[in-house]
Amino acid sequence: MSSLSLFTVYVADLLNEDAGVSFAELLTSSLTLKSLAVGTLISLCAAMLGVILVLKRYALIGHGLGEVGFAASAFAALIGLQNYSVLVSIPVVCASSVLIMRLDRKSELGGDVLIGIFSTAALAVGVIMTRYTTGLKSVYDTLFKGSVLSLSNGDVISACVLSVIIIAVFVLLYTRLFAVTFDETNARASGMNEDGYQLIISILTSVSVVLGMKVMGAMMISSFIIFPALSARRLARSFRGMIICSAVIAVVSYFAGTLISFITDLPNGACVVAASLVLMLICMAFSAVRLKK
Amino acid sequence: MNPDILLSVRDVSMNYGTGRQDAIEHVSVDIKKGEILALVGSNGSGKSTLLKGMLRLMPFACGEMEKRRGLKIGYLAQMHTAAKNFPASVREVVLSGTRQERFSPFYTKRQRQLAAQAMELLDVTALADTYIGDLSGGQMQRVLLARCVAGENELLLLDEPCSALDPAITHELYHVFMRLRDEKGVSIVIATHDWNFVREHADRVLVLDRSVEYLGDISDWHGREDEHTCHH
Repeated sequence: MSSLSLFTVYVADLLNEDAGVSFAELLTSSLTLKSLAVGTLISLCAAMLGVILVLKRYALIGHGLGEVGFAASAFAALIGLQNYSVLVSIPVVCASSVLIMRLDRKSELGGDVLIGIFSTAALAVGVIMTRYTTGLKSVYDTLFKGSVLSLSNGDVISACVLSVIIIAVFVLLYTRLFAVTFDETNARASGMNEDGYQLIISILTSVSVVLGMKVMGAMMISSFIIFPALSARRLARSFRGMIICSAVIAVVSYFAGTLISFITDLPNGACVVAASLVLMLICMAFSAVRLKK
Repeated sequence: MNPDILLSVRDVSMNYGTGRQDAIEHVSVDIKKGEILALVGSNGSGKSTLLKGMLRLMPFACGEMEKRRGLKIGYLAQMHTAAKNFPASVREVVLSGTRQERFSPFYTKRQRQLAAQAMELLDVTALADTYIGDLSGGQMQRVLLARCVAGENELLLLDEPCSALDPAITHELYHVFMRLRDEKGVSIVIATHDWNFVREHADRVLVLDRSVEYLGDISDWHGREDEHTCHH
């Protein structure tokens, strides 16, 4: 049974009159809190890193890495490690991310072409491997739905710990990340280890994408890297402001999307991305009105 | 290395890819403490390439460089490498030039003081909270120079910092360069086409035409200035 169906049964159970459970109790149930906690933390990671990736015109890397993550989890299932897919995916996605960024500097192909090569190749390999493991039906789940409701307590704890580490590293390196993002040439000229910070950004992004895949689906997490940052770009006129706006918009989108998903029985990842899209359109309209004044 | 010399380049050649013609050939120069060294030459003479080589932004094809241990170098590129539409305030940009002292989302008091002093020197204090996208070209250039100054750099490598500025702002910036040299002992290497600046303010001049044509006091230079000036 898919995680969505499981959740539907769960909600129906909870809302059963005999059970006497209110909507408020549903929202505070351990399952809901678990998914909200993981989703919120991953949304924050994606939104903060998204600011850097969007400003460096590297936002599509989230998309490419999502598909590499899909191939990696298919590979994990193929070798019988489906319960440890995160552990298998993180090194594979990190290595791909570093490789894309390095090749982008050295080859003449350009980042967009490299991301295209990696993402389509990974998608093809992932689909072929999935055919021999969990079946093609699960391709849809992995790419578009995620499976937050099927996360074990161990998964939840590790996702929360990794997310907190990502946020902490981002916050502690904030001033350096600003310097590298604003002007990487100057950062390198002034003696900063610019390559080292690019590597850190690659690794943080990779881990966020792998975790996000579980919650929202591989395709959806990449959108979540882009939309909140783009919305924030319309509102903020400082780097710090953009990060704060992006984080707030991501969390609001996540809660709004999850609520809509609960109510309408639509896939959580798609609802969250749709909510962030609507917020982005509102921010664009607000920005256009402000510019006219 | 002589303690009065901050950076020394020896017999350096550089090119933009193996097999291509050298952008600079066998260049040797010492940068002395507290001097303004003007780097002049027509477009394509290798001024920017030499500066990038000194910063290790480009590799040497041959030759070597020695610099004083722990030397802090600031750089201002000819074309802004920073995006003008980047969401940043003037204060954030200037603060980013200060040396990072600890791992924190906040700048230290000392970093804030250095940024405030740099903004004061470059006369951009009133713009501190302005979005950089709202700045004019001259204001942006002053902000980027303030970023260089905030880093307490002992050597500034400036690649045509005044080429797109009007004479009044150019004059103000020249005044700032003098103050940095005279009051703080900062060495400045400045790539320029402005011979008036070279004559009035530079301590030495390096005339470059892929290789060194002349290096020394401007009063001893007997070449033709128009051969080493930008031709638009």
